[in-house]
Amino acid sequence: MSSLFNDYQPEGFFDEVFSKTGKARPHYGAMLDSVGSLTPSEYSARQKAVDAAFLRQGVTFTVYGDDQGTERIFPFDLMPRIIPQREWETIEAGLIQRITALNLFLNDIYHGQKIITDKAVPAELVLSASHYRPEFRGIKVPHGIYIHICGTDLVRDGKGGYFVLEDNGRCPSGASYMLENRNAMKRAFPGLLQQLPVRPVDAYGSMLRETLAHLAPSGVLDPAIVVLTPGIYNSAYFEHCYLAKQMGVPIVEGRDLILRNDRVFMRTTKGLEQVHVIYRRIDDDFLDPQVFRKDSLLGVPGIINAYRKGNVALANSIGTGVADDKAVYALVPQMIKYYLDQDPILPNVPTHLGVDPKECSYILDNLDKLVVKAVNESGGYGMLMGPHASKKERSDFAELIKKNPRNYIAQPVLQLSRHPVFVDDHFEGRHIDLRPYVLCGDRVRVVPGGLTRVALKKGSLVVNSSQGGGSKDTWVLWDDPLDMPAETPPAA
Amino acid sequence: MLSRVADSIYWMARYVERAENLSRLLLSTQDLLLDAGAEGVDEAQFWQPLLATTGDEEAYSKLHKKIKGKDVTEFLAVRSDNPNSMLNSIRAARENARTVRDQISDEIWESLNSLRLFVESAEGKAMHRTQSAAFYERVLRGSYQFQGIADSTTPRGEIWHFLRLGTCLERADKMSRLLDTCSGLSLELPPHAQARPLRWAALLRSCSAWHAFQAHHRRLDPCKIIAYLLLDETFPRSIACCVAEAETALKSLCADAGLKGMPLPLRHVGRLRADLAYTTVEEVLATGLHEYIDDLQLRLNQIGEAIFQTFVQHAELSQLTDDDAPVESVAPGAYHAHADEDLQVQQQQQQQQ
Amino acid sequence: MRFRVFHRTRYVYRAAVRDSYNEVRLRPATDDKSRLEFFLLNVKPPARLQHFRDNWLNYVHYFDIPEPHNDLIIESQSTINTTNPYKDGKPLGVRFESLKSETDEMVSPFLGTSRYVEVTPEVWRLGIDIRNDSNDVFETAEAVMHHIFREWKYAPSSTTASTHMNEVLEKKQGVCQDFTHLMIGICRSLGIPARYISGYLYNGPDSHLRGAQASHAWCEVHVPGKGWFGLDPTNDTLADERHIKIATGRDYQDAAPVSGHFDGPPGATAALQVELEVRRLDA
Repeated sequence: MSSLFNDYQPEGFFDEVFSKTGKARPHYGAMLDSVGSLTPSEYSARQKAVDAAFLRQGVTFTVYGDDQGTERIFPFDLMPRIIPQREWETIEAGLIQRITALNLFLNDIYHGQKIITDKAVPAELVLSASHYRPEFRGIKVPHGIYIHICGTDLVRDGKGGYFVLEDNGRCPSGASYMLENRNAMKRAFPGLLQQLPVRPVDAYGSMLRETLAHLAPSGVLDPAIVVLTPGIYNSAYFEHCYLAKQMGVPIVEGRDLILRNDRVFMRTTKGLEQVHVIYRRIDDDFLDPQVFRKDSLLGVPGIINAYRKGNVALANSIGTGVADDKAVYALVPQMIKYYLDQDPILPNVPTHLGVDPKECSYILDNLDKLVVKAVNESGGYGMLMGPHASKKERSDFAELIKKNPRNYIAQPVLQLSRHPVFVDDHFEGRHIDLRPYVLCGDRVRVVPGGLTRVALKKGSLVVNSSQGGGSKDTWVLWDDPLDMPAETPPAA
Repeated sequence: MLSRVADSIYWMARYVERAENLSRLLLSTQDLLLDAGAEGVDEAQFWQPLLATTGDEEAYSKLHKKIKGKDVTEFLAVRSDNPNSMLNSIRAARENARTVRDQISDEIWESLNSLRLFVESAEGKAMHRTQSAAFYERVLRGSYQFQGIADSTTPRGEIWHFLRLGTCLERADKMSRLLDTCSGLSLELPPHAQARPLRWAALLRSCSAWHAFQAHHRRLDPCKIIAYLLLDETFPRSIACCVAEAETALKSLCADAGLKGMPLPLRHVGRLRADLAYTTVEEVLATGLHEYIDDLQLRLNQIGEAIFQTFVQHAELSQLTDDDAPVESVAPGAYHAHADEDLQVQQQQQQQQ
Repeated sequence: MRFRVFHRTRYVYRAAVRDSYNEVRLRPATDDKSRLEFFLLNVKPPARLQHFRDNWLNYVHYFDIPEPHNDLIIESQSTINTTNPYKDGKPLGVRFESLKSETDEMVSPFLGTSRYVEVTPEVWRLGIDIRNDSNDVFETAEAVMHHIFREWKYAPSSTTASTHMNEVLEKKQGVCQDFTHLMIGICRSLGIPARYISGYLYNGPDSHLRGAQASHAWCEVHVPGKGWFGLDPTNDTLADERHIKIATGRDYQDAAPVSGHFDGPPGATAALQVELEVRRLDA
């Protein structure tokens, strides 16, 4: 065992690398041998080289709060998280099942609402979700798919079981960091990547492009695809730009687009050019000032009409947020049962709904043991970590819950799995989660890998980048290197 | 290419050039002051023309009562509340680069990003306090690096032409302002050959023309200097030369866009180039240098406006709009330091999960 | 053995079709020999899936797509653990006489004529020849299998999905479905209950080449007191842990992986594309 890990302690948590007895898990063997041959200063020199490259290349995200919006690099820990093939296959199947059910749910909710008529889920809960868009009911979307790009958050509990924490079906972000992290690893540990059968993730750009092209209005063989960004002040601007470049498509802002005869065009130096598919990274509310928020400066007036008429496709579709609502999340297992007639492969974290009076009083009585979350927030905002909160914070939150119980859910505090992270000159365990990316086009594809997010603060369970989180590269290992599946299946 | 991208590239180049000109101006003024130190002149006399060149006299007077070297250099170089400061120009250049990252080479982006990281860094700020000359030289080098990288990595298409347009028009504009600061000076040669007309020499230095000019002319004759910087068609910083290059770029752009006839920006730039080609320095001086330059600046602005109308705003397109209800929308355009705050706030609000 | 199966069927229509109703039998069967770890089925255009269990206890998922569509994709994924049904050896030693006592309703449907299989004098005569003078049920079934494998020519595209056993008997060629029908016919004519199995076959590490293979079919015979045992006449082998069972029935009709109908112009189906991958996970 290398000196870097000599004093490493799993401390009773489920550790990705070491078992309870302190033995390394087999899929980490080669990795540990290689990292183990480094001295702390050699290791930290590699870490610093990667950080400097990220800053120079502007691989950053923006933190708001001060006047300019500070750009930071997303802290990156060099030691990769490794997922063996068998675990990955379950994850992959579970994610495919989930997105299939979610898309069926959205299609149903925006058309016949059979699931409600059949009383498989409570009507009031679904229809009261703040991201439900009744004005959008009855509109046909291309191929009946609503969520094309999904970034589901998975966590592991104290026993190592995988759970779905949330489905991000509006504008999931982070795929660019997944790609950049891999590039950084190629520079930092080239030998190791050659030696191990790590499944590549760099096909993401072309997979995304194919997924988007699949949405094009029928008859358009070579669709013009664009990425619609809010602009450079958005926290994820780097990502928008990066993905556009990976796909080889233009990145546009709302003001670059203009409507003519219910078709969308972009203003170019040579006049107007038609756009067929828009990968939009702005909220529903801002998409069209004529339909949603009148004061939107980011949207394109009339774009919804073009969408209704099928002249342009949007990814993700409008109103997908209803499936993202954390109270509706609790119903996903029922949806899987109802639409697919199957049992969920990946379980939900047990969830108490504030809207249910009995569960609400349970939540209020057990605030010190639960994590309470506002149903529409993301990024680690609007939540209460019961056990870590002060008495005052808890009682303040209790008031909020009583005022609007529909707006809150609670879950037990999961002891998220931990992974060694390099701190100063040695490794310490930190809690992590996993965000794989799911693309839903003519087939559902899960990128073999994803973004492993790390709560860098000791003991913290919050992994969000805006809250002091960092990331790791995620390696999906294939048992037999010769047997590795092609990332892009050949056209049938 | 997207109209907004064109505008951003144009302004990216302009802002880099603006920062470069400002560095050179600050460097040469400091030199001038050192030379003049022996003569015991009032400091303000040297710094005031600088503020005039950049057009920031009013903004400066809001912050400081007296014109002092330390305040002026700080104001022009590193103050973030001066929208025209070197710092803000570099920021703006970099922000524009950021909006078009997918269009420009990684090397261009990294050079501007590094330059911005430097001027924002504690190291950069300390350097400006203790050895400002080194700071300005670093910015100058950054700009040269940008130009060199752009030259060697940019395909000679639309992007290149918009880059050149931005650089040339900014350069011509700054040169005209620089000449204007000398319009009040005497055109007489000093009585004996050894005495150097300091201001005129500084003018040449501040646009890196000292050696080039001396290769052609023995004496620092003010009339010849004016002729050289205004009308010479070989020196790359002269106004005539910049306008000629802008015309070349515009010709290609108009042809690419399939614009028929004589598009407005081409008409303006062509006429100006012809005027500069057929004007003599004597005619300029007869009109009055200041008056001539006033008119010149007006025409340069006209060219800039016409470019914006033609390639970004599509003046002819918006007239075609037959939409029933006019909807207020934000016009596409580049990043500027005084960006729309509402827009900024909304951009930040968009949830990225 | 542990397998991962990916099975994707795509129908491309020349013109939009509508009101499509489909039943699919794609869920691998679970019994004491094989255990299903997970199963995932989805279709495009998206439709709600429901299921029932048919007469033979197969899982049948059904769905309908009322709106017009230009293609239909049915995709299933499963992970399954199989064990060798023959691990205690072949069920030899059961004599033909014990077949007579079998009149139980679980077995009787597999003794007579069905949609694609007919118990005819011709097939009975062939059966008698193959049986020779053996009195062992399983030994006879094996002999039938060997005979078909030896005497019939494996000829892809020589038959269709709806080729009757009688045609196979006459032409002496076919594919796995045809061989299975023939074997069922011969066994039934001799009084051995025989049924049709549709499924997948893992045949070595190269078998996961996409689109390189299609669904497989083989036959199961009932040995009184011992149960059902599979025999694969196409490969002349006992159906062991490499054979992944999906559906059971009297013949292809009962066990077809996909069946359905839609409203559309005649000859609307322009293409049928199948991708099948059977990957061994525990090699």
